[in-house]
Amino acid sequence: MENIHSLLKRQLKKLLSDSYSLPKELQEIFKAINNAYIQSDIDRNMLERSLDLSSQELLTTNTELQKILSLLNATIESTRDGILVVDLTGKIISFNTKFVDMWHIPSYIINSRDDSAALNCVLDQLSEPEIFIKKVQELYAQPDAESYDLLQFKDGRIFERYSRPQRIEEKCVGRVWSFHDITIQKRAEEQIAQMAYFDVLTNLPNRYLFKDRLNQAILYAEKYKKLLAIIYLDLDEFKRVNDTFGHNFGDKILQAVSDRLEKSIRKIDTLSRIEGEGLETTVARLGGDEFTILLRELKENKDASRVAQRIVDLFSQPFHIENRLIFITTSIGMALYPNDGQDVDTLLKNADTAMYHAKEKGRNHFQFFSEHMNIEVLERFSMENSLRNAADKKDFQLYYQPQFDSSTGRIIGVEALIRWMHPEKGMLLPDTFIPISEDSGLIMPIGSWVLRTACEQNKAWQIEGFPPIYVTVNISGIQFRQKNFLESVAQTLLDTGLEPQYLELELTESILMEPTETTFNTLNELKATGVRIAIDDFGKGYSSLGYLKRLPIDTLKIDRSFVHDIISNPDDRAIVRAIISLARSLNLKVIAEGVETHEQLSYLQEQGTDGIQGFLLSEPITPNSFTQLLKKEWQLHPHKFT
Amino acid sequence: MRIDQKIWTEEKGWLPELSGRADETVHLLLFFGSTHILRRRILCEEIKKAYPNAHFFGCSTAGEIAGTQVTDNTFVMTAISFESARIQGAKVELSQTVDSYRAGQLLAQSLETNGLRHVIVLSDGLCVNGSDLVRGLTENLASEVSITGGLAGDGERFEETLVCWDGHPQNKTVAAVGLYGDKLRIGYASQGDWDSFGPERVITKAKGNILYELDGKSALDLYKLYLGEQAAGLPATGLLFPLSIRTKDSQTSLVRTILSVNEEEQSMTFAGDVPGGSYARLMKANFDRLIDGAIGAATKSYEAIGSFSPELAILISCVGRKMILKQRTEEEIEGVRDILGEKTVMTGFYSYGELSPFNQGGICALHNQTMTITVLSEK
Repeated sequence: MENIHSLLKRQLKKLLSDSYSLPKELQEIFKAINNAYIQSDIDRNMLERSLDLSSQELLTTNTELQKILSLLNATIESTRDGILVVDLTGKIISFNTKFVDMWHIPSYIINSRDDSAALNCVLDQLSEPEIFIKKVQELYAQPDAESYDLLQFKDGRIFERYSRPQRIEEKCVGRVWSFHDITIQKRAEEQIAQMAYFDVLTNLPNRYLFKDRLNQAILYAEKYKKLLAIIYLDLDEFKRVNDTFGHNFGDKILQAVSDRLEKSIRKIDTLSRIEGEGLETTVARLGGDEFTILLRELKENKDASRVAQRIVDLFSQPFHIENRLIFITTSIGMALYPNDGQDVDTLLKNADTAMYHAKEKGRNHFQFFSEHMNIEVLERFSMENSLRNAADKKDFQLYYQPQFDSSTGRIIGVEALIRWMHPEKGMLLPDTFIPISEDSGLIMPIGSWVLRTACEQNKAWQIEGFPPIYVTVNISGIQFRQKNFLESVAQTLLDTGLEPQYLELELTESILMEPTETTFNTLNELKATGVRIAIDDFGKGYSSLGYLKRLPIDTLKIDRSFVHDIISNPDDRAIVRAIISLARSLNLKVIAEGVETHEQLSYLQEQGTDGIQGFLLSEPITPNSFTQLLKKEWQLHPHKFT
Repeated sequence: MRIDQKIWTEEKGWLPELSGRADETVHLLLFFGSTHILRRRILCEEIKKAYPNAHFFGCSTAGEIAGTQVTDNTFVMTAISFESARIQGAKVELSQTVDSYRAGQLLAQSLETNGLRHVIVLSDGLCVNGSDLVRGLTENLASEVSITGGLAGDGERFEETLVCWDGHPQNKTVAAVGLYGDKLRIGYASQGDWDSFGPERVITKAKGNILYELDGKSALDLYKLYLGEQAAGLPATGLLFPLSIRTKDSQTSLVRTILSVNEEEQSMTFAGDVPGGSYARLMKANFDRLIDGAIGAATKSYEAIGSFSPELAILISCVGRKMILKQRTEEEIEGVRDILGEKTVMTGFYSYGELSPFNQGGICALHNQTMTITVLSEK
């Protein structure tokens, strides 16, 4: 037999003698054994070869993986993003140095891979940690989700955060968090936005933003039928300042001007917002030394002139720049919506034109675009000015109109009525100047002068020995709402020595139209001092009768318009009757004003009016004439004095 | 079920001898033999006379199984008379116009569907894409019909395989027999138990069942490298290293073995699909594990019919296993015998591919390097 396996050959040789020959019956089994030996060698060789080859292959693969790993590590380390890899349970698997730096994670935490300590360290730095932790929890619940958001830090930094699953083939095994610091970028974006809408020098809105706001305001005003005013300012002779002191200096003036404008406007806004809807006033710099103001809280067009005057006044004080005091004035043009234009460009153009007129007229003042507004304002201002003078010079005088008992005809009271002895226009009635005094705030000194004078006069009559009567003084709503109104009344009574029951304060119905708690309190406290309270012009307004019951009132004065037509107009008669029956049921006195004819008088007497006031019986007269009237009455009714 | 098994060899003729009288009760004659023996017309004529009513169903092999014996160059014949079960069979020839999928489809469509329980398929082992064939069958059969079978073999030559449904055995043929009958108990299982080793490689170039490249390098070169001297024995020696194929989205993997090699194209043809983009690992055998695999398949099929000895067991085992096991090949058959018991008649062959679900009730697939067992009983 050929090709005997070497081991089998050796075994045969060793264990049997050389000369041994296999018996024929064993030859087949010997062949099978030999084949098994040979096959076993072949199998083993092949197995060894394959193991050797595959370990070589795995070694090569390993080297390649190391290369890839080093490439990945180098890539991750060279990125400017902070990267953190965690497994599905949140355990830290990998991170780059940038991550540790960005989040200021102490080395003892990161080295120990303590994920909860690291998370706490992260949360401590965030402005809204609870939102972040919620997001983290959500993402653990959804391992396959990707997410992105911005993180705001307590120290002002802003990070972009990406989070995406880490997958091996399709299977999700963890999560990669990456953080990108975009603080600088965000700041730049904000700055660009600011630059796009705001003037860099003054931080005021620029022309673009102003026009946009004006456009919005026009749409709003159109819808709600509101008035708008555009104020256009140009500094007078600013070029000369620039040429003399240089542009830097000029810039500082512009900054100071914008500062003053803004502060002043903010004050106006705060005041107007008490009643208004909070529509913001915009101050803008259009460029150069041109500024614009958009006024949105106008009740009437002339309100704009008050703001304009205030702005002119702002420039009466010098600007303190670089140790210099600089006097600078401004010329102002104004255009009104809807009268002077109904779109942005027309309004701006007309305000600009008005500003040039102001300059032509000698600077440092303002001009409306439309002439009639200018005239109206002019008149108003001259009136306001002379009113101010009158208050100083005591050009006012009180006239007195008696109130008579309708059944006995005796004098029961007297209404004090102010007259302005105008040097040029002669005697003026309150209708012509009280509204202006209210607008300009002059009502306060005028009002207290009236109260004091009326009280003094009444006391004087009492001292002269006339039977005591009450004096009625008209009180403006503005006066009534003053915080110290109660004190000033009490002080006046104290100073003049008039007992409170001889003073009647006459309030217009408008004060009581929508009474607040303060109104009730003031009235109640007034009433408690003993002062009488009357409601003027009753029936004209729309008082809630419900309130009337709660108000501590003594007298209702029927508005003169009803009295005037009482004979010819059955409606007016019905109203007068209703007022009288209302007063009776509420136990109030009724005085009819403006009684001019006998017919009116006898009708009112018939209906049971308590008091009568009017030209028929007496017009308002001087204190001296009133003294005469009292004397006459004293002669008629001497028994009163016994 | 009455079963009679005979073996023919050149030296000894029929053992036991053929009876002089024709047996007209046999329904199915299941036979396996080496290619050159199946070519002997005289032998076929002789059998035809002995079993005039039987349908002939068989194929060439890489080793025949009769009882616990594994032989080469024999003709193993199992004559089956069913008590109540019926059979219906068909064959198709593979051609330019009939590809593997179409063949499966035609066979499925030719079988009466009413009462069909199981289909046993014997296919050409060299010209077929087993995966396509299985798809053609499964897509055209009701889902409750199970399929098992195998790819015919040609020893370790890989030259020509023959398949027969009645008439003479032919190459490029696929045959199927459908089993009908409520009382028939059918169990089946397939198990390989080869071990993957070395790195996982990506199939970077492949088309159907033809593999060109792994990890961008010639697959054939890789095989030659691993086979060393044995590369001379390709394609047969390629069976020593089957491929474990795992598609990207699948957790389980299939085993594929080589059918042929094309040196010019630097390609290797496998018995079933090797889809591009899938992962492949070389596999190697371990004697004990292979034998345990055969026992595992036996146990599963045994349990599938209710844990009793079946009347007939058809064992289809891969030629790759035989090439590894060599003298120990019969150990895997003995392992199967230990499970199924002495009463079971066992036949079968060493194949170029196995068709079966892994487990009872699963979906049929082409396997390589497995022991696939189909057990039948009418009790």
